[in-house]
Amino acid sequence: MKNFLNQFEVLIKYRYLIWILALKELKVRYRGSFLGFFWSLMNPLLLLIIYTFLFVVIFKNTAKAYPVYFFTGILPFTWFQSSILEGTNSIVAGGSFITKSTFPSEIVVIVRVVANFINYILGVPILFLFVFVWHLKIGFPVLIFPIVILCQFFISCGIAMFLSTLQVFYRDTLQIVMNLTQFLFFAMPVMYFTSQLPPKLRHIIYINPIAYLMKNYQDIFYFNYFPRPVFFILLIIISILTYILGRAYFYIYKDQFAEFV
Amino acid sequence: MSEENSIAIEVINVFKEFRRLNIKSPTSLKSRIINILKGKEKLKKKDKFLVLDDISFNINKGEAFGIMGRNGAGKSTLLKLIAGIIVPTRGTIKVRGKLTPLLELGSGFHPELTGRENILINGLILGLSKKEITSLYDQIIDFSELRDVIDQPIRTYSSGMYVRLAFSIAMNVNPDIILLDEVLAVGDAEFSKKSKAKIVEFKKKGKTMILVSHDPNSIVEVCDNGLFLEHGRVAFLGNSADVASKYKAIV
Repeated sequence: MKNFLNQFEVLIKYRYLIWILALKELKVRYRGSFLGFFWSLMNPLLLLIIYTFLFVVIFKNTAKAYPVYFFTGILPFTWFQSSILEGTNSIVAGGSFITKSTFPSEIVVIVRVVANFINYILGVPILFLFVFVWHLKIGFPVLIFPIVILCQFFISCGIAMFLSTLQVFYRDTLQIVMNLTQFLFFAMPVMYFTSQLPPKLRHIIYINPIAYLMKNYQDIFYFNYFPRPVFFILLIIISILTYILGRAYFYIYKDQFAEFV
Repeated sequence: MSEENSIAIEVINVFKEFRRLNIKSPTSLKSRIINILKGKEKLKKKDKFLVLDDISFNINKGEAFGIMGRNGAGKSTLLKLIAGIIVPTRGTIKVRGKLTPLLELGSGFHPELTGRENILINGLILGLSKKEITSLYDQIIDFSELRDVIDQPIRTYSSGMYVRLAFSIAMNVNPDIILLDEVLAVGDAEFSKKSKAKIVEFKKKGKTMILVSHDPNSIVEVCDNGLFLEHGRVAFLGNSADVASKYKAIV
C-alpha cells in the first residue's frame, strides 16, 4: 500500500510548486496579448462556430442543441490534446529544470497537464451558460464531474510521462503524436453522435478510454445520464493504471534525461 | 561512527562515461532504424568516453572545498554528480545533509516573471515551503540590493542583477551543503566582496561548500581544501593554497 501511495507523493508534496508553475505557464502564454485569458475561451468558441456551421448548415443535422454537445466534448478534448502535445515536448524543452536542478523532473510534465486543465476549467462556465441557453437539464450526474476530471488528469499525466520519455530518445515522437491526436479526435464521437456510426462500431469505439472519457462528459452535460457503474469503475482503474505505468516508464530513464536533453 | 558523521560528502571511485554525440547518434527514429538495419548499432560502445576517471575524495562538514581545472576537465560533471542530477557510471557518492545546487546561477528563472515571482519559484524548486519563502523575502531582496526593481520582469535586469538575485536566493535558503559553480567571478567588486563575506559566515555556521572556479585567488581566499582535475583525473588533492599553486604552475 505504501508503495502504491509513493507513486503519488510528488503530486502532493510539490502541489504548490506545480500550481505556481502552471499559472506561470499560462501567464507567459498570454503575455502581451490583448485578450489574455480570453483566448482560452476564444479558441474553442471559434472551433464551435466552424463545426456548427459544418454540421447544422451543411450536413443539415437536426440534433437538438448541437453546440452544447460539441462544446461538451471539444473542451476536455482540447485539454487532453494540449496536455499530451506539450507534455511530450516538456522534458526536451525543460532546459535548466532538467539539466541543472534536482527536483523531480516529472513535475515539468505534470505542470503542462495542470496548465491546460486551468484552461479547460475556465471554459466550463461558458458550457453551463450554453446548457442554460439551450434549455438542457443538468441533474445529479454532475456530481461525478470531479471524478471524471481526475480520471482524465491521471490518464493525461500517464500518457504524457511515457511520451516525454520517448521524445528524449526519439525526437520523432512529437510528430507522430501530433498526427495521432488529430486522428483520435475524429475516431470518437465528439463532433458527431454515436448514433451516426454503423451499429457495429458503436460499442467498439468506446474501447478507447479517451472516447469513453468524452462520453462521460457528454452524459453529464448533454444527456443527463449516470454512467454505468461497471464501466465507470473500469475507467477509474484504467486511469490510475495509465498513470502508474507511464510513471514507471519515466522512472526507468529519468536519470539519463540530464545527459540527453 | 562519529568520524563517519563528520563527513558531509564522500566520493568513492567514481567514473562517469558520456556518449559522444555525433551526427550518427540516433536521436531520430529513422536513423535508429537505419542503423539497426545496417548492423551499426554495435558501434555505440566505441562512442563512449570517460569524463571522470576514478575520482575519490571526502569533504568534511564545515569545510569549503575548491575544485579547479581547465575547461572540459570534468568539473561541472563532478558537481552535477554530487548534486544528483546525473548518476555515476560506476562508484558511489554519499551526501549527508540538505544540498542546494547552484550550478548555473539563475537556472529555473523565468525572464517574463518578476524578481519576486522568481524568488518564489526558485525557493519552491530548492525545496522550501511557501511560508519559509515568504519569511525570507526581505532578507533575500535586501541582500540582492534589488528592492527597486524586484517587481519588474527579470528580463529587464542586467546580467549582474540576475546573478545577484540568484546568489541571494541560494545563500538565504539555509542549506547544509551548497554547490557553487563559478559564481564569484560575476557581479561587481563590491558584490563579490559581499558574497565572499557571506561564504565565510556560512563556514562559521558549520556549513559545507563546494566551489568550482578558475580563479586561484578566490579558491585560496575561501576554501580550506581543494582538488585539481586534469583530464578527468585527480591531479592533486590537498589544501587550497597548494591546489592553487599547482594550478598556476600548470595552466
